[in-house]
Amino acid sequence: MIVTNKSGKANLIGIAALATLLIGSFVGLFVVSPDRLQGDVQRLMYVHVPAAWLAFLSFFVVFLMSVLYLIQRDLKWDRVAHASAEIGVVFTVLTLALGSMWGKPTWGVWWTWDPRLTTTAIMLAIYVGYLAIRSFADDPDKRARWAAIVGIIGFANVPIVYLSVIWWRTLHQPPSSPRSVSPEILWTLLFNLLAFTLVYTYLMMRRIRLAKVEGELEQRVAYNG
Amino acid sequence: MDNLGFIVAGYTLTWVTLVWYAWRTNRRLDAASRALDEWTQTSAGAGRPAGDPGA
Repeated sequence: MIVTNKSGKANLIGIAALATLLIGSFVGLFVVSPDRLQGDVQRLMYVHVPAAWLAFLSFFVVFLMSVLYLIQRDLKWDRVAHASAEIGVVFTVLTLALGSMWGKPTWGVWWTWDPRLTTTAIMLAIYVGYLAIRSFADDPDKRARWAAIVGIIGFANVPIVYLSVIWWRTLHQPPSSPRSVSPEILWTLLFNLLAFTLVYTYLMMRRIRLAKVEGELEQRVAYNG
Repeated sequence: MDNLGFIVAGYTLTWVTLVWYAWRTNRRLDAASRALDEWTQTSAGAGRPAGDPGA
């Protein structure tokens, strides 16, 4: 049976993630003061920004694991990369949807071809492609090799997404720094970032386990017929 | 609270998405674990090597 100590650890992290997300949402919605310029709608920042950061982290993990796979040719790195790519896609969709909900009342439009938004949409397309390309190869090694190449080349877009608001004139605001926001906004944001990181950790543990079980099943079917 | 609809929609979407993805992953994991167990039992019954396919 697969359920072991790792499941117990994952469940503990899941409970911690749920608790911190609950507290973070409550503080973001009801405790922290509204922004002086944007008013209450700025409360969306406490979910939009952590979702974007976690998308970046997810794709950095894909990049790192892809490099490790190509060096060591061990499928365990591919499993981690696959898990992180799928979770990264979820966070990217969330980032775009939340950004759109924040954009409508502040910019007056749901979507605009602004450099930050456009590069983020390209990032989503790259990692949806990464997941799609995996279904084209039956051989696990070939699949892992193709995916690793996309995972490495595709990561080149991630710093462009981050720097787009600095490089080009955009509607999207530039990155905030601890000096440009009040301490209560900063701490609420950091707490929500912690909550999202715990959610990512929990999802990764479960998704990697799933990839491992699916891999074992695939291997047995292939060998035993 | 101004723009309440956007705020509620945003937080609801966040929660629904994350809980849905966690639920879906756990369901897939349960199904895959069950399939692996069944395969192991069936293989053992049929006299096939149930353990490491490379063995």
